[in-house]
Amino acid sequence: VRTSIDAFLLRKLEEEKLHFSPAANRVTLIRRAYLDLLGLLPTPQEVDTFVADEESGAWERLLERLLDSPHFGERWGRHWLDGVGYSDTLGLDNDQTIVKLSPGKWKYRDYVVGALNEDKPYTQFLTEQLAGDELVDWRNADRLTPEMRNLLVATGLMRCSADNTDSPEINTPEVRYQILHQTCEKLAGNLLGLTIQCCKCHDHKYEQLPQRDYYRFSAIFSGALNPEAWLQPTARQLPGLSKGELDDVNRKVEESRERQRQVREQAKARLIEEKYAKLPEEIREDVRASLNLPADERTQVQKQLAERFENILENKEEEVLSAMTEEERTVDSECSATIERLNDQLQVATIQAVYDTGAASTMYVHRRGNYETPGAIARPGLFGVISTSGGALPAVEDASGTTSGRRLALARRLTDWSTPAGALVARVRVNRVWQRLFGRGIVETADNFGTSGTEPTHADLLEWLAGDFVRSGERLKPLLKMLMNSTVYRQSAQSRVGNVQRASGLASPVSRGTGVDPRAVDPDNRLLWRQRLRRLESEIIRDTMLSASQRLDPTLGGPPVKLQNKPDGMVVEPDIEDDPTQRRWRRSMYLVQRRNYHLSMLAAFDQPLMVQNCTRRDASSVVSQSLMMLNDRAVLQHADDIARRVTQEHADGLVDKLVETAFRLILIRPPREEEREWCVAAFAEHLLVFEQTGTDAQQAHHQALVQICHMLLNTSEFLYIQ
Amino acid sequence: MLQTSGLGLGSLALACMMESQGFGNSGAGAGANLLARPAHFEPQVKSVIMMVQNGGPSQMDLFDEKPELSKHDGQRHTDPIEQFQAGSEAQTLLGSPFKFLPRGECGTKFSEIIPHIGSVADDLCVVRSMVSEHNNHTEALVLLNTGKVFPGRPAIGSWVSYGLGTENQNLPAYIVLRDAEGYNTSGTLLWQNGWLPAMYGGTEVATKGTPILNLRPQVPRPAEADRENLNLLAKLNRAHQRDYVDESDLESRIQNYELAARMQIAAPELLDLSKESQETQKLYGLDNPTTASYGLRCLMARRLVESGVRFVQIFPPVKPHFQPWDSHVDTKGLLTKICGMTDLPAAALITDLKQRGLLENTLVIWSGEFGRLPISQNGKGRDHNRNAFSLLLAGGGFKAGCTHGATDEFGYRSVEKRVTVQDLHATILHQLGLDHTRLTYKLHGSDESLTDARVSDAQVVGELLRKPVRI
Repeated sequence: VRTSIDAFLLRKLEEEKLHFSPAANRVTLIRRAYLDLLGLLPTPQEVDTFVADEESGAWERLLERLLDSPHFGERWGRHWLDGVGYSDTLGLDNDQTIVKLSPGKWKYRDYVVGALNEDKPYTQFLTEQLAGDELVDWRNADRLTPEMRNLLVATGLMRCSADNTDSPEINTPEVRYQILHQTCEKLAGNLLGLTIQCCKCHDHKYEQLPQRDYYRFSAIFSGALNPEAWLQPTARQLPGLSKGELDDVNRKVEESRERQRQVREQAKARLIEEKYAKLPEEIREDVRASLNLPADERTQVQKQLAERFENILENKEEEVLSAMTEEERTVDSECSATIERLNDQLQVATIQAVYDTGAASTMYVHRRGNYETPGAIARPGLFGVISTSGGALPAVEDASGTTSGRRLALARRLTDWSTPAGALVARVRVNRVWQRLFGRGIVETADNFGTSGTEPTHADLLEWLAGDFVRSGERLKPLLKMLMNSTVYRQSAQSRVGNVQRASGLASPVSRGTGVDPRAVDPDNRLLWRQRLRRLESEIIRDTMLSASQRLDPTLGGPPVKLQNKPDGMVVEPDIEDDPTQRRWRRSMYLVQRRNYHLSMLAAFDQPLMVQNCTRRDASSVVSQSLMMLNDRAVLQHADDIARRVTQEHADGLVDKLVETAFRLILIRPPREEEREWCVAAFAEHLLVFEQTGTDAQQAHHQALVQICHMLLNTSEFLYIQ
Repeated sequence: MLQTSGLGLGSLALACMMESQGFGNSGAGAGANLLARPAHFEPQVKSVIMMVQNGGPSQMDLFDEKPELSKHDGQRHTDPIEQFQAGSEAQTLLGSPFKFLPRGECGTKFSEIIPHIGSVADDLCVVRSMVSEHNNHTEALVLLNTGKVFPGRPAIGSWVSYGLGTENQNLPAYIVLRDAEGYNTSGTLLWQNGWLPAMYGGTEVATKGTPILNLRPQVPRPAEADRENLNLLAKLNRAHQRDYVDESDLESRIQNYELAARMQIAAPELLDLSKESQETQKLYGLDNPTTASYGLRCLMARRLVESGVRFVQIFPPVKPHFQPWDSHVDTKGLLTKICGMTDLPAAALITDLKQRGLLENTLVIWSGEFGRLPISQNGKGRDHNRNAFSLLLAGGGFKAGCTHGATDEFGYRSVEKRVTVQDLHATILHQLGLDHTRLTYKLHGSDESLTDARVSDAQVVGELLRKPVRI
């Protein structure tokens, strides 16, 4: 028992005469820590250093170092983005080939990563996202300060619901209400663990959630997402630039357009003259005169001439471009480049914010969920079941004094830890963190803490954790450090039959002294007598392959990397020619996040359909995953890259050295003796096979090594956190 | 042919493999599998083929003759009409450019534009009183496929696979056949497993090239290398598994690799049409470039149900347009084109199933997501209409040579014996021996179902069926 949480767990274990499993070995631990905190693999040197570090506190120092890494924010940011239902796309994103991005949306993703790296206290983190726009008076500012910009970006939390209202035929009250309602349902599920969907139409059958409360909660957001005074997406987004800056960019765009028009006119005029010059001299001027006249002023003869030679004036863009002089062409392409760059600048600056767009309209309860049959008025308020004051939510004066302050009031209430609502928010938060580290929440239904959700396995622990989180500054990093420092986290995930022990020296989990087999008493491991084996999330499978091959581009943030859609349904990283800056090997969270049509590699490993949000990833095991890992072009590329890296480190090319290095790069450990023998034998077979198919010796050697690396990527060990 | 025992050598291995694991074992749905299991009561059908017609086929130009509409062609319509897009402001009634003819012994009238479907009139049950809930393609298509307008719920094919498993462990339970050129409107949203375990999702089987994605290495390597690789991988994985004996996922992962290897042999046989006679190929229009692509999907569907696949969906052509029935501008031109591509193969499927005695235990559904308006749009087109559409049912214990329900005099609104999409779903499940109120899945503490009958009031439409309703 190292930490307080161990005591809670041990008490329940001991009631069943069970005990924790022994600690996992150092190599397993460092891999677990890297994957849990960064989603990347340690290098062989990092492993060696940690394994050899005999001084006390080595583990704590490792955790601190990882928590300080900028990649920490990426790993835990992705969890947060799941919960809010983040997508780079604007609408429902229903068609594979039509990708409508929400300009600048990615800045919210970067805000989350940054906020987690900074370890903002939860109150601040939530308040900024729910009411950042109400914390500063940005409306009356001459220029948006970085702080204002950041706070507006943070409200992107509430811009994650699919919004198709840019199509006029879909911009209907029904759809607008749906966007408001979805936003509320996601917030309630994600932050409060309340499933409120049912209450849209009727009082909840199992929970104390009357229908009225659904509409009271919606009313909090009706100043910002106001179905009765709706803003279409383009009108809602903020330019992110001051008026002066915006005018400046627009003026430059206009200038370039004008300049481009001029050179094109110039070339076109020349082209037309060339065409006239080709006509027989006797009709040339007649044709010119006819074409220069408006159609209705032409004589019969002129009409015929005009019809016959109308192609003189009709010059396609390609023709005009090819008629340009070298100089004109340079100007033209310069102008195009400038326009593109300026437009990019506008896109990059754009902020997808939520702010009160005007006075909030009155919210009514919709009878049977239908907006066309309004019932009683619903004043803004929190769910009665988690309020002491009946849910009323007095508005808070916002920074500019001009908007409703309703969301700021909500944020204050949700982070008032002395209220039932605040206590629930804290419990939901720590439960989610627990779920990430142990594979399953203390409350397994992460977004349903109601009576229809599952009972907590350790209610007292959940209370204690929530309290401790609040007391120690509401910060994620200390919470993680405490959890990962515990005996329960550090124990082995292994379970073996009976008392069989392996040479590795780990004791069997059969409880010492009592002779009770935990596998019989608690087969589902609900009591955590061992750590849980967890399959990696889709993105982490790809990211770890990239980190093993050292292809990974560790750049943080920025616009999403566009993907390529193939007719056969595959979605892949862009080809080299479409991706000169090599952005295709960025971390998976920076690939364009669609609601559907994810990178096929990620889709195969349960990347969720982001129609709403996802509070817990599936970890299925289906044959399409095996086919993906065996045959996908990118996976083969990773195997090839790793093989090259292995060879670089062992120019002498002794096979068992190569095998050892491949193991250490991919599984971060040396092979056991039997594994080494199998791999060396397989290598020899491959060498023969490739030589027989006519591959030259050096290439056959490389291919044989690629096969070994490829199979190591395919192992279960690679796909799971042990 | 794809008889249960007839996939060749590979299939035997596949059969063993898939027996317990199905197309995979889901961590989330521990215990889930694809083994055939008893229905709630005696089923009337074993398999379903659903021919989805994206875009909204025009009921008054295909299945629902409206003499009053023709009579008032070009006249201003004064009744309020719910419009979706701009372009119908003139409120002008538009009669059908097509003639309707009585077909078969039953004499049901069909448009001249679908002569082949007309030729199987005596096998068809035409429902003329369907209603949808939404006027946008995606929502209406999602409704047709999942029972609600918002995406994310399991498709009907997933529910059926979850409820009944499948007869043939060699193949996925739920197969989607789409145009090899691309996806139709709303693409993969329409065959999601939602929150059901992943193995119940629709599997796309391509009718061209490699039938299943990633079946072959995308960078070629010698077959011997593959064998050696899998051999090594199995050893490594078995060694790893010794330390984690309670993790069923690890076992299913090992088996999935063995299955993958066998699929490489077995799956290409799906595309092997050499055992299909010339007559059969001609029946489906494989000899004609216009009908060949859709015809191949129809023929594949028959081969699949014949071999015991539970649920097959056929999607329409993506060219010239990915929602091919969406006739906003030119009713006559567009319908002539799409009917020319799909009419013959669709009829061929029914004829062929019947010849082989398969129509009795196969249910064929031909349906779009909504209908179209009686007033003109952009001159000769029609806008979307959620208030009425028609669909076809064949086989599967449904009455044949009949029509059900009616729309108003202009075909704008279903008025008699209205059938909702959820009623349709309840009825399909009923024919499979499933009670739609009992086919449920626990999600976040509550029982979810395809029809959500408490909200939708879904009812089995007994009038469509030859035998009495069991629930």
